[in-house]
Amino acid sequence: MRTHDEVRTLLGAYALNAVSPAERVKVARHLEECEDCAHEAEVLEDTAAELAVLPDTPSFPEDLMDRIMDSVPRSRIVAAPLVRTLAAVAAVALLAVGIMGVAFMRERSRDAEFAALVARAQQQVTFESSGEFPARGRLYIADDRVALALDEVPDPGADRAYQLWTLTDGTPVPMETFRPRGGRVAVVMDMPRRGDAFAVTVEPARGSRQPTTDPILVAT
Amino acid sequence: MRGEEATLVESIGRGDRDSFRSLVHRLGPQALGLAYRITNNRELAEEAVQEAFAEVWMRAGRFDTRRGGARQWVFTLVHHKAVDAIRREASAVRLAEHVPDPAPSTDPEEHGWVMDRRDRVRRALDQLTPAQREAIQLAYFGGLTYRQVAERLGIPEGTAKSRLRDGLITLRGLMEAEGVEVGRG
Repeated sequence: MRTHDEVRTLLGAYALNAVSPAERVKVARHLEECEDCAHEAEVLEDTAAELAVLPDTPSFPEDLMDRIMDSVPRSRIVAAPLVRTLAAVAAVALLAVGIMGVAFMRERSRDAEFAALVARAQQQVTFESSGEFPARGRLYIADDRVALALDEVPDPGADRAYQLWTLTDGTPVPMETFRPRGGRVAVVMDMPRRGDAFAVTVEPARGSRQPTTDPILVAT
Repeated sequence: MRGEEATLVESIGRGDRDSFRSLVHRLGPQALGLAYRITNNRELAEEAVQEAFAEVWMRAGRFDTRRGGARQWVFTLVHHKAVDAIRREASAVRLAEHVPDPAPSTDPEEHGWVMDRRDRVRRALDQLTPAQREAIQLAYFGGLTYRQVAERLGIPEGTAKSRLRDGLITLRGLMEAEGVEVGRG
């Protein structure tokens, strides 16, 4: 009940995006199990969003429209034509095999380490999306190493990366950054300190010492 | 009642670029106005709007148009991106700086639905107690956390939290009384 009361008092600040990243996680988790709070949060968020009409309406730069349209794919299926093109150019393909071979071997050894860690993990935690972030996955913990496995991870954008955090009483300790490959993440990293929860945020590419955005994934 | 945006978001979820363009055309100008207000910086504002719409494209298929308002969803994303930007730049103090406002839109279509709604929302906000109104404005347009609001106003954190929550709850009622169907329309 204590969490419920605490979260309840935070709902206004939460709806206005005026809470700390750790509080955002706490509220989001509670909303998944408390219908009353979830309903109130939804209404308050919608109320806050109505305030968006107050600032003057500027004219919309044409190049911004172009950039926005360029940032989304022209077609949802982009892989097939690329594969065909590669297959058609045999000479290029030969060269590609050479380059990809090296990458493939590195990948293999990383995969082996990943698989070994998953196999000997003493504990695994499941990530929950704290909003509508599409990714799902797990973190496998073996002593001071972890294996992070995520699916459906969107590109974080240029100059950005995802960063894993371990939290102790809501205080985040930074871990490594990572980027998805083909929407998937399968990485192994060190864990400086074992916290009681984990979170993923989007950060500048080289990572941050403190989260600068709200967590998109949370696990305890 | 479903807004036009809800229909657009549904088609965007199926990968329809034309609907996406229509949604950006319809909500983009006000989204940019909001982002400017929060960041006081043209570059950050445009980046926030671009990121927010990229997320709209990505998540539209999962958005449940029966639950919340589509337009409110888009503005919430824009708000988050803009606030993220100023927290990243650690420049939430910029509130006091004066930056020339961007040129107002002269295209009546860009104002469209906004004008009527703006007057009603403004009237509702004006009826809050000054203390609640100030706290909400600092949080929403200033991008401050409730702790920063408390510090700025010299009030306990608990008071800041309750001003924000009670203020929003009251504001919702006031908006409805002004004919704003919160979360819809």
